[in-house]
Amino acid sequence: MPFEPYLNVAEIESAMEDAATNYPSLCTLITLPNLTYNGKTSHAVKLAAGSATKRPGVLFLGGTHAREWGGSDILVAFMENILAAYAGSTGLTFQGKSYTAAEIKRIMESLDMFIFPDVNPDGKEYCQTVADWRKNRRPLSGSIGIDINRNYDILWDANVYFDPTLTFGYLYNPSSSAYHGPSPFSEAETQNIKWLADTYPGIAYSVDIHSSGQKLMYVWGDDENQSSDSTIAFNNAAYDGQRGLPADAYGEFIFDFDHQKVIRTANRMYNALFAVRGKSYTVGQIFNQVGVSSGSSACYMFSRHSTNPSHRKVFGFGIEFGQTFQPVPAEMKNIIDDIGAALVELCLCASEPDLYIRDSLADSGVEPSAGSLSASPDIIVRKNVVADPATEFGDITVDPGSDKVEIGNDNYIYVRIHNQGGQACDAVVRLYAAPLTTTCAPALWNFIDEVDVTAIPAGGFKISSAVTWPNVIDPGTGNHFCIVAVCGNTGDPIPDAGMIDSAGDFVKFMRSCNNIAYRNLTFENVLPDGWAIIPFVMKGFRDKKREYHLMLDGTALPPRSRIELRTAKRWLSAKTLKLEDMREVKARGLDHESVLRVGGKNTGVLRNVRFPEAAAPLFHLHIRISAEAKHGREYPVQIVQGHDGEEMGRITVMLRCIRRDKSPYLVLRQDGRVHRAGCARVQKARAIALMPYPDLESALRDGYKVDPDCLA
Amino acid sequence: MAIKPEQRLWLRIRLTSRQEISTIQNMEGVELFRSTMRIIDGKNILIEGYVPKRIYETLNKKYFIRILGDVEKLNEEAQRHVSKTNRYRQK
Repeated sequence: MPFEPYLNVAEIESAMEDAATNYPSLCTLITLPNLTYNGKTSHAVKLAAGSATKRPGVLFLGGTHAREWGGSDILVAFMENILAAYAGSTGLTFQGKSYTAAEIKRIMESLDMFIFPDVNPDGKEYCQTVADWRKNRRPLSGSIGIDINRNYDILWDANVYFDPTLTFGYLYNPSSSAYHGPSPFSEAETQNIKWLADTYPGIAYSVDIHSSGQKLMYVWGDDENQSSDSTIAFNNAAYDGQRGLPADAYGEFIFDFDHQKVIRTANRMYNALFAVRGKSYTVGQIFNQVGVSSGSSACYMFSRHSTNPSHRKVFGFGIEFGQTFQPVPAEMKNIIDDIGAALVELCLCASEPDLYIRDSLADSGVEPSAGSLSASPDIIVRKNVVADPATEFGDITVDPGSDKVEIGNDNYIYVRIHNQGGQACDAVVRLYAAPLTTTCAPALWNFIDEVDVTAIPAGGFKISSAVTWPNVIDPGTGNHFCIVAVCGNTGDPIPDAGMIDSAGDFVKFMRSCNNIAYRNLTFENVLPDGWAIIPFVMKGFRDKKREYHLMLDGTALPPRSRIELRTAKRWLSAKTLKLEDMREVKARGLDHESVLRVGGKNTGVLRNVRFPEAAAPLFHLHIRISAEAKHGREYPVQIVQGHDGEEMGRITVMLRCIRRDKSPYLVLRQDGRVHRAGCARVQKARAIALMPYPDLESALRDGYKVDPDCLA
Repeated sequence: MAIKPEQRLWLRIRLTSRQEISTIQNMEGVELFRSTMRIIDGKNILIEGYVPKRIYETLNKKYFIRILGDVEKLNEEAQRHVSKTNRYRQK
């Protein structure tokens, strides 16, 4: 449909119906659940082609403010252009800016595009037929209408959240054109948008099209962005009343890698827009471009994952097109090209390679990730080079596990890198080793090596070649390690972990960035009625409150097993220390050590553990597995470090039970040597001093040397 | 007899601080469009808005203001460019 004149409300609806009818395999009409005050049913469309799964979504909003008519026209034209280009295998040209058929194909086949072109049909109809209008048309408190873009649940109650020198009477006055409504999401229009975001959890980008001012904007809108302290954030009540003033102590937190991403995306949108006919838009953060924003769509979308970690991160953008609300038709036609190019560019950004390494088998690459942070199935250590890693590690539904690291020899690491974008890409992977630790703080990382991985397929994964970890030395926790893998490329850069200096930042960083993962998993052979001793490190961060908790979970152990935690007395001497289902026991000859024994159910919590920033205290976990343990079974024991009620990381110790009569070889802990079962020294040793092995080879693989007197 | 709506003017106002935006925006019937805000020469802020004519008289004594148009006349003019049919149903 050629533009001119402006589309009316009925035409916008018909345009979507026609698109769904004409392109049934590419366009789906979505009926939104909430009727407008005047009883109108709103619709959106979903554009997608091909069978790719796990597609990121892009949500386009237009017509939020009644008088800003062109937003709907832009989105209807965008929908029609993309569909026609894909169906006809052609490119798209917006005056001086062209996109190839391959680019359109990539967008359609790797994204879900949700287009909601007429958010506020009641308002638009009134404005197009009666008089100038901005809000919706719901009567309330003797006035009519609520400003939809002040009605989202993000810093909605501005008088509470912002600095009191800023006055927001216009948000609270029902007769004001910017009245924010009686409560967040009080309006059918905002409820419809929330419904879209909730119903289509793959949505990863949103763009809200407004006029006027010629601006391209990205989050945040309440204050200047900062990436140095994650506790200074919109959802921290301690900062209520401090937001909204430039160049002061408050800045809204955004991870640097997210900040760089929104800047990069906005600049690319602008470059595309400029190429159309040289129109100049300013690009920047919402707060810097239009001042304080309360209850707006872009900020709400980006806030969702912070408010509820089960929500996907949605990068929020806003566009203010043109220089007047209703540009004359000749100019509006040009603007449709300007913004059309910017929107195609946004889609290309959204469909670009998005690299990730999984935190756990349940991790699908969505940011933020939920579940365990420290059990990456994609980081695989082997003592020897694997002949055919593609076959051995090719089933990503399985965790191939890791060998126990061999001290003093070369070990080999493989990493599975996933790409959830719509385009194949190369990447670099960097590997680090840390002592076995409950929190794999960057201060503990030691660089191993990096490796290039080429041609990671769109929507697929690739296994790196072996990274040699030469001549491994004991980091203080024996052959128990934490391995960290970080990946990136130009379009999805390696994140800078240097900013992590607080416990809160660490958890958010690990969950919020899918380019990084680590594996904390260790194995230990143990005799029934024998002991396993696992050394590990806890790590402090710079924090206002340096209190951590440590949870021990050995509930899977057989009855009458026992767990003890040992460390230097000074780490556990604080009066504030609290023991839950644990008690301190005296141990002979261990005057400088605290020994905490876990209760009969083998689960207990140590609360309010404090230590300074530089400290990395060494702990030993002593696990006595009872005689009832079954030969050949593995018994997991978890050690979880937490902060402020949130898990920071965990170690999983897998105890492999081997019966004495099935253990022809035993390692004597005190000399670290392998002995025959019949050896006199082994016969005299207590069970705590012995590690059983079913064969010599596996003992040697674990890094133990043979005892020359016993095994010549 | 229908009450004639109050006449509103489309203005460009020059301000010197963001706080002034809040102050003006809180006046009854005033709409300032922060998307039109431009900070020029490091100290002056230009912003557009719709302002009732009676408030314009007050503001004009304090700020440098340029009138860009009459809001309802602009809207009437724009309405001429709105489709009066459903072109999708005439195919």
